[in-house]
Parts: sequence; C-alpha cells; structure tokens
Amino acid sequence: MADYRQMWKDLGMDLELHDQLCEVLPTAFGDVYLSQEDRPESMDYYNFVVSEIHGVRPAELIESQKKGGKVFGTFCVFVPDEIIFAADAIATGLCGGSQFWVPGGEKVLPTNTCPLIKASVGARLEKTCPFFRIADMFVGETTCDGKKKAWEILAEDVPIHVMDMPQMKRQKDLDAWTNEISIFKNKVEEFTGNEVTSEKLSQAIKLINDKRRALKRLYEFRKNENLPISGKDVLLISQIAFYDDPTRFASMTNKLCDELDERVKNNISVFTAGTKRIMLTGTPMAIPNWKLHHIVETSGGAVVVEETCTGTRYFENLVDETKTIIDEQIEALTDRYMKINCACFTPNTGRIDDILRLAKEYNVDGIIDVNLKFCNLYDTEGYFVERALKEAGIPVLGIETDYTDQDAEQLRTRVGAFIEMLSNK
Amino acid sequence: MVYYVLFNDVDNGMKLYNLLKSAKIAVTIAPAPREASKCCGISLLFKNKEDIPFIQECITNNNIEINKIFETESKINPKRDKFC
Repeated sequence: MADYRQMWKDLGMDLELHDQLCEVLPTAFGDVYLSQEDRPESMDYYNFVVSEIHGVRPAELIESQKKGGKVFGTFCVFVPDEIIFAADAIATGLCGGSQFWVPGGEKVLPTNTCPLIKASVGARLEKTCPFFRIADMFVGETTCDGKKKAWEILAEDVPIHVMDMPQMKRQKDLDAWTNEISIFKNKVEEFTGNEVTSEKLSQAIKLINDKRRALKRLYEFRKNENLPISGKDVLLISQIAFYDDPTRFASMTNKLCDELDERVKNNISVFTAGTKRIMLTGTPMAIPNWKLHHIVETSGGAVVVEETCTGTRYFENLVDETKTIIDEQIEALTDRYMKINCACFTPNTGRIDDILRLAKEYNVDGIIDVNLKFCNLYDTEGYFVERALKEAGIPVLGIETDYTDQDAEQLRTRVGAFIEMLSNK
Repeated sequence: MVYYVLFNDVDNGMKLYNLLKSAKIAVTIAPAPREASKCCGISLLFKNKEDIPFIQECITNNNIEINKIFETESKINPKRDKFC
C-alpha cells in the first residue's frame, strides 16, 4: 500500500473526494473478483493493476513526462493509438466507469446524458482521476451527440483534439477518415515535436497489433466447452488493456494464456457443467463497471463473449503490417478501424452479422443486449438486434442500466429468469 | 479469518509475493482493505493461519519491509451487489 497522496496532491487532485473512491474499491473488488473459486494464478497481475490503478501506472506516465514524453488521454476505440505511440508518446484510457464520478458530470451536463460521458466529465472537473490530471492532451471523437457537446465543455478546461467520425461507410466516408487520421498525425507531431515516420509507424502498428493478438488468443479460450477463465476476469483484462503499457500487457496476457492452455489440457472449468453461455452486446463497460457480468455469473450464467467496445470491437481485425509508405499505412489504419461496427454508423448491419457470427463461434445459449441509460444510438439499434436474434432463434434479453446499485436486485430477477428460461428450452 | 500483508511500497510487496509463490504458498494480490489502511495499493491476502510463521521468516530472511500483517474476518460477499 504505497502512499501516493503526495503524487495526487502534486497533480492537483481533490484528495478528500478521491478518498471516497479508495474506500469502496477494495470491497467491491473483493465481492466481485476475490469471491471466485479456482481463478487462474496469473490473474494476480490484473489484481495488482487494479490495486495500484491510481498509483503505479500514473507514476509511470509522470516519469515519461519528466523525460519529455507526452501523454494522450483517449475515450474511444476509434482513436488510432498507433499514431500516438509512433510519436514516442503514450495513449491512455481515462476514468469513466463508476457512479462515483457521475454527480460531478451532472453539474454541467443534462441528467439524460449517458453515465459514461457524465462520469468522464465528472472525473476531470472534480479532480478525482489521476489519468485526467496527467494527460497533456485529450482526443475526443464525434461518435454521439452527447460526446460532441461534452468535448466543448471539457475544452474550456483542457487541450482537446476532436476527430470527426464519418456516419456512413461509403468510399467518400472512408476517404474522410483517412484524411482525419492524417490531420491527427499532424496534430500529434506538432504537439510532441516528434515526426511520425513510416518506420516508427510500422513499429507502433506491430505494438498495438500484438496487444490485439493477445486479446484474441485470450478470447479463443472462451470458445471451449470447459471455460478455464470467467467472463468477468476477461472483462477486467480488457478494461486494463486501455491503460497498461501495451508491451507489458501483451506479455502478461500471453503468460496468462499459457496457463489457460494447461487448464484446457486438464479439462479445468471455472463453471459447473450446464452453465448457460451468455453473450453481452451493446455499450462499453469501462473499469470498474463489473455489474452485469457479476450478476450473470452469480445467477447461473457464464459470459463467454462481449460484442462491445470493451470486447471484440477493441481487438478484432489487425492493421496490415506489410505497408511501408506512410500514406499506405494510414489507409491500412482506416481499413482496420472502419471495420468496427459501432451504432454511430447508419446503416450498421455489419454489427448484426458480427453478433450472429459470434453467437455461433462461442456457442452461446442466449444474448443480453445491454445498453447504458440514455445511449440513444445503441438503444434504437436494439430494435434491429433483437429482431434479428429472434429470427435466428437465439433467445435475447434487452436491458438498460447505469452504474448505480439501485437496479441490481431487479437485474438479478430478470437475468435469473432469463437463464432459467434457457435451462428449460 | 483471513490475513493481509500490508506494505509501504509496491517493490517490497512484489518481492514477497514472488518468494511466497516460489514456495507454493497460497497467496493472492488484493487491494489493501480499507479498515487496515487508508492508502490505495496492494496487499497480499492469504487464508491459512499456519502459513504465518513461514511468511514471517521469509520477510526477515529477505529483508522485506512490511507495514503489518492484518487479521480480519472475511467480508467478501458476492451477493452484496454494492459496486463502485
């Protein structure tokens, strides 16, 4: 239990308020994670990261800044980390997954804004997140109306660069995104003083692809009949991927996968035979949002895959590593990032294809379409998702929730009934 | 009862963790419980009281600085449904 209070004070954080978060985290983590039986030993690394989440990694980022490095805080899986790392800078995720930060956001945002946006803005304005204090620049994107307006509020407080996301996927939209990545590259070069050369970009593409490969390897284990790792453990790993040093993250995740290989050989499962296999699809689950996974996995289900931005959308598809000219590399980035099927696009039928494909690959028994409250895009798209699943004969439960504990009992009842229904099929 | 080894810094914590793992002692990295420490950070959680003498010997023999070993009833409750 290192004492980080001086570091937090130097960052201008509100220590008293931040202390309230420190107070609840150990209990919540214990209830959700340490209550599990027979976890892989390698999960200790991720326990370590969570225990030190506002300590060790922030300290590393500050060390990098002391050597002249820049830190970019990002909010979305569409922001190409490759450009940032190619400029010898560091990309990091930001706080946004706890109810703790929501009231701070509600001071400046309408209540009917999604909790992810409210929590992000609240974490910055109330000075309770070290990552929000450390980042030299923030990178927003126009994936929804709530975010677009939130960036304007944040921009009064911090330097922010906004990437203009296309809303369709026609050729002219892909060209526009290529142009937007080029603009971002220029901005990063200007801000860091470091040129993004083709060699540097090649290295960064490989770096981020290696992280994606590690996550893909991890997800492959979830296709087994015997599940060697729980869904909530995989969620935690995915959440940490947004913050951790990419090289270390890939190395530690591959080490975990080596352990999982042994577990598979020995037919070890962390769930009893017959546990219903559940896919979650919908909005992202930023750390420490573990609510629905925990409820599913303590109600007779196992989460075997997440079609979310903290799931398959984050790591599926690699950037082509064979390109050696900067313009072609940027086009390769466009090719990869525009394969992400986010509800911000119209139409977004690719997402339905993804869900149906993943349902087969992971042999799911049922799907929960889960959306954060006031996320109009995903909520509306739920109409098509749930219709397609019904047509395919896959049971689906639609859930709208937030970060509060208030609906936990109700969710237990609904999820429990859904899983019981799957058992009676 | 469960037991937490608390540290004043991460390096000593990880050093002890690695030594105990090498000795096949059942120990888990956990956030330091609030009732034991006001600082966020790691602790080492173990359940077997009989391991305490070995752990203490390991600490002494390897010049590991710890804050204390904290004994408490396990408060882990997966049905509490209090998230953060």
